[in-house]
Amino acid sequence: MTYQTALAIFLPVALAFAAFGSALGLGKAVSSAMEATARQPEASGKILVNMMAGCALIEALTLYVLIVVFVLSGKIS
Amino acid sequence: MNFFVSVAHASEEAAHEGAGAVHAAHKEGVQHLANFVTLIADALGGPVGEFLRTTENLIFTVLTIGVLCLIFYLGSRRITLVPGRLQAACEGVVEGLNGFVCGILGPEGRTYTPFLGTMFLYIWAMNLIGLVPLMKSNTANSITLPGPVPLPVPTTTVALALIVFVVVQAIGIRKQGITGYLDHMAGSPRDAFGWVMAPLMFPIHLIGELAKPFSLTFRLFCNIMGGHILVAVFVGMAVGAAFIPFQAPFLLFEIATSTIQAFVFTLLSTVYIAMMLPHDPKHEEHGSEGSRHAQVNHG
Repeated sequence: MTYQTALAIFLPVALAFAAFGSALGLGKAVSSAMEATARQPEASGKILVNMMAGCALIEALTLYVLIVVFVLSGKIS
Repeated sequence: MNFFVSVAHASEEAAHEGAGAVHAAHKEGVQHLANFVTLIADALGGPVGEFLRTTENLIFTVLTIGVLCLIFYLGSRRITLVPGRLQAACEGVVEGLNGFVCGILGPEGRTYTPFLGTMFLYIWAMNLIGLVPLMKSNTANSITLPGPVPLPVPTTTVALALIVFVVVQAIGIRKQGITGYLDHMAGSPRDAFGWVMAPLMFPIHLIGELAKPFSLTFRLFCNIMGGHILVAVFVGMAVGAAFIPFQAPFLLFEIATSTIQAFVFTLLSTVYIAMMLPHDPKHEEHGSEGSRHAQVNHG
């Protein structure tokens, strides 16, 4: 197996793993934000702001993998 | 790629939304949208073209700063007690940023609002300007490391993150004194256990402080660059298929991402400054003191 074949097989798999992990994390964050809003609807603005910040931090990890995929996909021939 | 360049010239005259030339960079394999500086540089060629290519980022930086300064200058030219529309908008923005920063840092956070607010507006403007056709975000700019692995190293975002790093450390040293700063970095040892752990805590805190600019850099760069690559890929598909703007929903998503990433950068910078300020042992958290005191009073 050449390195190009290995890259071509495993780069999408790596991205899928990263997306899966961040989807789980985001689901947990958003669900707890929803529960907190349901408990106290007048705080929904502040909860939304904090949820957005948390989601951006979680999303960043997937994007690190995306950049690596873009960089290494140039090495496939 | 002459076909794409000629297509771009035709669509400039037709003012088509979002169509631009797509350069497939053969070395990196990533698609970038052309902006007006690269188009002019390609058209001129020669030493002037080379010069334009090297100062591409400076041109967009000056453009971004010029737009921001123009908006706020026009909003503050004739300040009246009953504000006009632009002045009211500018005041609203400044008040919102001040409220946000003081919500985390407390009332004395007003000294840091100019720095953090300008950071937010600058990053937001830079991100949004990249979404205009034929313009480019400076935050998505990177240089490719020479060598076997063409790793893109971001340029503008690392500059911003280093500024935040230096400012946070300077605030820490100035507010707590040099001994207080070293004490904070060693985990504030107070009892014997603290002193035993201090040689371990100091490298951990040091690495933590150094990891902050790294994460700030790559978070902002990856989000904006990834979004722009996504838009570029869809524009490339659209150019082949009769100019249907496939990239339109992704442009809308990119507007949201630009705002959120600027906000997260500013939020994290504010939190880093908050962690460097001297902790009052009576107040554990900043910003939620009002509600907690209210609960204590009622309970």
